[in-house]
Amino acid sequence: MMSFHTTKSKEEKRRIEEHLTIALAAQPNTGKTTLFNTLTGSRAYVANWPGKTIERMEGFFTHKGKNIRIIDLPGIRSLSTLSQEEAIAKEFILSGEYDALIVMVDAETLEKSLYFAVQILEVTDKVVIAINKYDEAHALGLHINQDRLQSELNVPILLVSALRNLNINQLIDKAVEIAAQKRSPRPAIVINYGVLEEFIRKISNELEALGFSKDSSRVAAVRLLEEDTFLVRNLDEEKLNKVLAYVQQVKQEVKERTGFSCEEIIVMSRYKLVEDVVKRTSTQVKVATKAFTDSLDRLMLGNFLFGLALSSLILFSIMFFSFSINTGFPLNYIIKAMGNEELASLIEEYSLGGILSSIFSIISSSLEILLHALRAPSWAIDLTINGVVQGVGAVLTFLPLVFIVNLFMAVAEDSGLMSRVAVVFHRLTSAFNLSGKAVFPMIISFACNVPGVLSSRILENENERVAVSTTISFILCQARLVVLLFFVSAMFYSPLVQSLVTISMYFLSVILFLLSYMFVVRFILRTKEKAELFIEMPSYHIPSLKVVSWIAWERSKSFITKAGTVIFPMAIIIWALLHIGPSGYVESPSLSFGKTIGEVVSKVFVVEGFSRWEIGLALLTGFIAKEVIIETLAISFSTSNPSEAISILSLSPASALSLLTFVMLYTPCVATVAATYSETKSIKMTLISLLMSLSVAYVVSLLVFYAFSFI
Amino acid sequence: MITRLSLVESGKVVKIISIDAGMGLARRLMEMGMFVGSTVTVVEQSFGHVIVDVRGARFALGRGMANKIIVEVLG
Repeated sequence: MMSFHTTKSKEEKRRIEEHLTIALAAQPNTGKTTLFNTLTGSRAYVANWPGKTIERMEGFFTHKGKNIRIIDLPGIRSLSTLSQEEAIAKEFILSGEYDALIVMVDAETLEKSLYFAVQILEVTDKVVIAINKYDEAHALGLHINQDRLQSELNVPILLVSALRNLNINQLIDKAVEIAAQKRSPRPAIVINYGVLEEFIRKISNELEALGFSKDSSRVAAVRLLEEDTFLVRNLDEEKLNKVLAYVQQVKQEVKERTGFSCEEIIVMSRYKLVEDVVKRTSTQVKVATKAFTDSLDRLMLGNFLFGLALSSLILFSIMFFSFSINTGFPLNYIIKAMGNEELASLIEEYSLGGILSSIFSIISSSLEILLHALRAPSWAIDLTINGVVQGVGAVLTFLPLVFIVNLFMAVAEDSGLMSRVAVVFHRLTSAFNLSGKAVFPMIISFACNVPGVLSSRILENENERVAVSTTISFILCQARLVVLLFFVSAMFYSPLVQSLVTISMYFLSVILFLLSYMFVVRFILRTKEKAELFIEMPSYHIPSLKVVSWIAWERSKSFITKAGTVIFPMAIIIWALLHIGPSGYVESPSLSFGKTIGEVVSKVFVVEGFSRWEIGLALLTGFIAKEVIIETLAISFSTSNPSEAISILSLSPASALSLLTFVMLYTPCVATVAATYSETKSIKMTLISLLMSLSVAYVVSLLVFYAFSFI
Repeated sequence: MITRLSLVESGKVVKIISIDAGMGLARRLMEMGMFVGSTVTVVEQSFGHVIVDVRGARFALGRGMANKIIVEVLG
């Protein structure tokens, strides 16, 4: 047994100074000791609290090169409790003699233990909250919206299991991050105490006059109203007595005026806050019985073919419904095929995409009228309509699709189906060294590559995640489907050829994704790891609307920030390219710098027979979003009907197919490139992704040209 | 009876004796609560995977992985 503070030798002092001190606070039975033992292993020892006979557990360990000293505080029910051990913990927490504090709360008694955490957050923000036993509570149906809880409580929050060592590494990462800042603490949250506020203000004014800072005077005032004088312990007796006398006077006044004691009001306000936060950020759903889960699992996972059929049906429905809601396709085609053209066009018109595009055309035309009336110069009108509004439109028209796909995915995820689908598909995908979970980024990518790339983070293996996010953009997204359908109907007359070409493009895109994925894994990341199946399968339950909307909203939000910030400025740049030439603002693209650039780009396609500046330019603008290609072609050929542009080109079938192949396979858009960078955090991998899609698109389109030239 | 997890019949309860895997895999298993001494219920042996129940949590493990886990069948 050694005592640290009573006999600090120089050596010991030095050792302590070189360490970051992290303390561990929790109510009893939260699992704090389990965490402490996990972290320190056998290197923990017992010391004494300074001047006390109570033992304290300390340990040293290293985390990512940093030396950490960890102190296990005695279990404490609340900051207003009185046992000697608890007083030690309380005083330590209030004293701030640590670089970071891990507050552990119990997922199984969330409100009760968050109350304790909130008390601490009123004092300091050098805190990481670890919600322990989350795995067990989650299995029983508890869902916590981690992001929202973090922003409500203003400190990092991790969902952990000390017993199973789940997320403990990330917890220590966060604690070390806070500890390394070595800053002084501020209150993380400020609670509104209602009727007490004016008294709190008065007391804290007194304290400020005595030299307290603004933050600390409020904290001390609240503690004083709770009969805790620890924070004012350094005042001399005369001042202290004056303050205490004033506090007593306040307490009496509050009691007379409200009928409640100060402590009661404080505890009630705090619990009210905790209740509200818990209500907003967590939900409890009913989970299926074990027998139900067992039998459904036997169905899904017992027989491969049956499981595959069921899983494919689930994925297919997700795609079918989200696509149909968004653009009407493929529902409108099916209905047209059944002979009801009127209903088909109605579905198209009242799809989300249809509604949004009519809203945008209304905005465009009214803005145009307004700007004309204001006598704005023609370049400004052009920039507003074709640059700004179109740029905003490009992001917004994709938002509903992204949201809907994410919503369906969230339903699959939250109900427990997703992990079963992943297990079933693993058998097929493992042939490509890809885990079954990768079907989800793939499916999402069929809607839009940006959320597809972002969703690669569900993959657990780091190499797999990086490789998927660099290659998944080969999967044809819905923007490319729009271009594909347009080109196919303008280039080929026979419906049979049209559908054949469309389907082949989809096959080609999936095959190229798988091949390039294997290439990246094998030759760029150089890993020989096998994609091993290891998936946790939560109990089935009816998806909770709250949880599903959390997930869908969080992911769609990241789409807006990732895509919006890139697409918008790009739209302006491309507008400038098309409308600024040697003579300044020009109306026709044929006089713009864009033409010159288009000419340079088109030089590459001499062999394939579509070397025209209009196409070069269209391919360039396709980087904003693929569907812009159609419009650029129309503008460049000065026609309002894009199909006319294609017929003006009068391409041979081989050239037409080759052009189509290139358009389908090259980089989908800048937003996808940005998403790839944000997922891989590597300029190298982002460049590889870009170069690979361009060169694969070029080589394959060249091969297509040769193959069809000889037929 | 000592055998590999991949060979245990559905419905049996087993105790993990050793894990024949590199640090990476052993660590991931541990993080999920599967370490030497843990009791595991084999819910189902199926095509290419084993479904196990560990302390109420359910996992699907690849056969390759299950092959590396040596267990004692408890009944």
